[in-house]
Amino acid sequence: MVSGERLRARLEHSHVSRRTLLKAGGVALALGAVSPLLAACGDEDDPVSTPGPGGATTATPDTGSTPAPSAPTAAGEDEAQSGGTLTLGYTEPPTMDPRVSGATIAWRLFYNLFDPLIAMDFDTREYHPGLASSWEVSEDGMIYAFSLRDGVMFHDGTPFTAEAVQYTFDSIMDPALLSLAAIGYLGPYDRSEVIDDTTVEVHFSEPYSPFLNNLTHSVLSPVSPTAAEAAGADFGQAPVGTGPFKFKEWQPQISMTFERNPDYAWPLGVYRHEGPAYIDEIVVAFIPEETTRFGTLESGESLVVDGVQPQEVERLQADENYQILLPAVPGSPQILPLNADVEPTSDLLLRQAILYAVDMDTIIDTLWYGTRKAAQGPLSSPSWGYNPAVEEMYPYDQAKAEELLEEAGWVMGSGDVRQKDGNDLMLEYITTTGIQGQAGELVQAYLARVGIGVNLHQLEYAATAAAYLASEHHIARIYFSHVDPVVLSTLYHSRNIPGTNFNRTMKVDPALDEMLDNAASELDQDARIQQYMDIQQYIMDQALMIPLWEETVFWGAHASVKGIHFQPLGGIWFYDTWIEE
Amino acid sequence: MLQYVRTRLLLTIPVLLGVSFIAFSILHLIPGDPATVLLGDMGGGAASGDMSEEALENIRRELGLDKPFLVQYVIYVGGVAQGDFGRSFQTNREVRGSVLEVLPYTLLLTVVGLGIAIIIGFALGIIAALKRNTWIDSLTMTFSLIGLSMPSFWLAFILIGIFSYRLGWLPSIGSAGIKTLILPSVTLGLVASGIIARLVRSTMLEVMRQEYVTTARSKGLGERAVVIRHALRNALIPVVTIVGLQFGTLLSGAVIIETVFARRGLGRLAVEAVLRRDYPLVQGTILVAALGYVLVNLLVDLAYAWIDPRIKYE
Repeated sequence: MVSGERLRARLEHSHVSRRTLLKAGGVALALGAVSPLLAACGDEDDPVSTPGPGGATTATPDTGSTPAPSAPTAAGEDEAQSGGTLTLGYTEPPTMDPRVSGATIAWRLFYNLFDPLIAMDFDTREYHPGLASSWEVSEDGMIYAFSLRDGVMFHDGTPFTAEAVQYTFDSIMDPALLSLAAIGYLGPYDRSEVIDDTTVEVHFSEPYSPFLNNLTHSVLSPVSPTAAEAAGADFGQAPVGTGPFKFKEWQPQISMTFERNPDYAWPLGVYRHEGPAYIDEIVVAFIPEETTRFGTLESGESLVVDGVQPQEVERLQADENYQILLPAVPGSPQILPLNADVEPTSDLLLRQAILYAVDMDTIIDTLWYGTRKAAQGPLSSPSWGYNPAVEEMYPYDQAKAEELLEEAGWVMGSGDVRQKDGNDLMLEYITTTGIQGQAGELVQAYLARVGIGVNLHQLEYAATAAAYLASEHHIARIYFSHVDPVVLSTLYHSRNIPGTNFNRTMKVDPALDEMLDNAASELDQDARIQQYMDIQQYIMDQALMIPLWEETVFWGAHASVKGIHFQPLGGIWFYDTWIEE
Repeated sequence: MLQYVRTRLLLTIPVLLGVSFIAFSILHLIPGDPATVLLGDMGGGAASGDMSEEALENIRRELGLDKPFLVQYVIYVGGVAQGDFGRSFQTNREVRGSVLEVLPYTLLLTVVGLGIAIIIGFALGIIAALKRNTWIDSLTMTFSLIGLSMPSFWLAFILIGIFSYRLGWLPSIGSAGIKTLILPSVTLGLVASGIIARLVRSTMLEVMRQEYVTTARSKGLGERAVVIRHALRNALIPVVTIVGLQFGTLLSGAVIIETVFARRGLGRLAVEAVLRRDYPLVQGTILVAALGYVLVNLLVDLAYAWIDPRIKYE
C-alpha cells in the first residue's frame, strides 16, 4: 500500500543505502522498528551511495515504503472538512521565538508556525523529511549536509534557502539572543556553510551524533532571516516561519491567534494530507488555573484543552462527547535524583535500599488514578534507545530494603529511625509543591516503614533550584523531555553539576562521564543504542535516582475534533486536525 | 488645599523609592536565581540541553545579574527616572508596555468590586443597625462573617460552577465585555463586603445614640432622613478609612481572582513575575500597585474634608 504522498516522497529520495543508513545515523529507530525498515531498504532496486563531504555517504529518510502507523487512510482524507476555528485552552508562553524559548508549552505551539528540518514520527520514532528532503553525515560525524526543499516560502514572502538555516543556527549561538534551549540542542556547533540555495553544511567542532534527533525538535526550526533581523528582540512577539499556520495576533494574558497559511505546499513527511491546513484559525486562550481551563472544555468555551485533571479522566473517557488523549513524553521521566556526594546517600547500599523501599505503582495509582505509568529507569519507555532490562531491577521489596540497611550498618534503635554510630538516618527531601509535594509525602511514608526518616521541604520552583545547587538535598527532583538519549548527559554528566545543575546526583563519576561522552559521539546507531542501554543499566546499578512516573500530556478534546496525531514531544499536529460540523 | 495635594504628591516619591528598594532587596534575598529559573521549565521540566557554564554566565551578564546588588539597584532607579522600566527577563518585552496594557483591567475590576462591596456592605450594615438584636441582625452579620472568612478562590469556583457550568449564563473566563466582569467583581465584592458591613453597623449604632440624632427625630424628621442625612454621614469617616484600606485588599485579591478567571490584569502579571524571578517585571508591578495605594489614601484623606466640614487641609 503506497499512497500518493509516500510515492512522491519516494521519488524525491532515490538514494538509499542500507549500509549508510545505519552507519551515518540517518534513521532514528526504536529497536522494534529495525526490521521493517531494513526490509524497506532492501526493496530498493539499486541502492546507491552518494559521496558527500569528506568521503561521507548519503543517508536518506525512511519514507521509502515503510508501513508506518501514521499512514493516512483514504477514508480519513475524504471525510475531512475544511474550516472552523479551533479554540485551545492553554497557558501563555513567554516568547514565540523558537530560538529563544525554554518552555515546553511553547515548543508544542512552534510546530504550527515553523517546520523542522526533519520530522519525527511519534509512534515509530523514525525520521521523515521536513524542510530538508535528505541529509548526509560525514564519516567523522562532524559535518552534516542537508538538501533543502525547493519552493518553500516564509510567511513574510522571504524564500526559504540554505541562508535561512545558516542564519537561524548562527543567531542561536549569538550570546545576545539569550537562547535557552536551542543553544543546547546545537551542541558543539561550529558554523554552517551555504553550498547553494538548497544545500547547507553544518559543521561541528567534535563528532555530535544527537544532532539529527535534535533537529526534529521545534526549537531548531528555521526562522525568516528578514523578519528576525527587522524585529530584533521583538521577534518573539511576531514570529515568522514556514509552517502551516501564520501568526496573526497576540493579546497578552488573553489569547494568541494563528491563521491558516493558504500557500502551504510542503507538508512534513509525518503529515497525513497535502495542501493547506483544514482549520481556518487556532485561538490559543491563556487560562492559568488548571481547574478553570479544564472547565472550559465542558462549558464549550474550548474545543481542546491541555491539562485534564487525572481524577476527571475516567469520567470523560466514558463520555462519548469527549476524547482523552494521553501521549507519553520521551526523555527522562520525573525522577528523584539521590545526592551521591554527601553522607549518608553517598552509600550505594542505602541508595539501593531506598529504591526497594518505595512502592511507586501504588503511589502513582493514588496520585494519578492510574492515568500514568511508573517510571523504571533513567529514560521513559517511549524514548529512543530505552532499555527494558531496568524494569525488573528494583521491585517493591521492604524486606530486601531492610536487609540492605542492616548490611550498611543502619540498625533500629529505640526510636522510629535507624541509627549508625549514634547518628539518625535522616534525609533532606527538597521538592516543589502540588502533586510533587504529595508524592513526597507518600515516599516519606514508605521510607518511614523501613526506618528512614525524611524531612520533606515543599518549596516553589525557584527556591528548589537554589537549594539543589547548594547541595542541600539528599533527595531532589527533575524532569527533562528530550528527543534523544543525550538527555542522560544533561542529567548525569559531571559537567552539569555546576552551572545549570541539571545533574542533581552531585557526584563526579569519571567512568559514567566517559560512557556518556562516547555515546554522544558514537556514529553507528546500533552501537550507540547499545551504549545508552549500558548507561541506563549503570545508572540503575548505582541507584542514582528514584524513578517516579513517565510524563504524559493530558489532552482533552470534544469528539468533533478529528485527525489528532502527535508531535514527537506529545503536542498535537494541528495541521491534520479538522472539526466535524 | 492645592498646596496640601501638591505636598502629598511630592511625598509619594520617597515612598515609592522606599517600596522599590524593599522589593528589590526581598527579591534578592529570597532563594532563586533568575538565570537558573529561565533554564527550567515551570512545568517542572528543565528546558535547555547541555548548556555550558559559560552560556549560563552569559545569561547572567546579559541580564545584568553579574553586578553587585546595589549597582543593580542604582542602574534600575536610574532607568526608571528616565521612564525606562527595563525589559522582562522572561518575555523580553518592555515592562512599561506590559504593565500599562493590563492596568485598566485591574482598575476596572477593583473599582467595580469595591462598588459592589460598598453597596452590599452599607445595605447590610444599615439594616443590621436599624434592626439590631433581631433575627435580621443575626442573619446579616452571619452573612458578613461568612464573607470575611471565605477564601476568594473557593467562592470563585462555586460561582463558576453555578453560573457558567450549570446555568450557562456567564462565561467562566475572559477579559472582554461586561459579562466577563460580573463573576470576578462579584467574587471580590462579596469577600470585601463583610468587613464593611460590620463596621457600618457598629458606627451606625454609635451615631444613632448621639444627641443630634435625637434632636433630628424630635424636630419631626422622618426616619429615612434621620438615618441618611444625619446618622450615615457622620458614620462615614471610619468607614471611608476602611474602604480605602480595602482597596489594597482588593488589589491583592485580584491576584487570585485574575488567575482563576483567566482575566487580564496586574495581579496575574505580578504572580507570574515573582514565581519566575522576573525582577524588572516584579518591580514594575509593585511600583504601580504602590502608587495606586498611595493615591487612594490621598483620596481618602481628601474625602474626610468633604464628609466633615470641620476637617480642613492647609
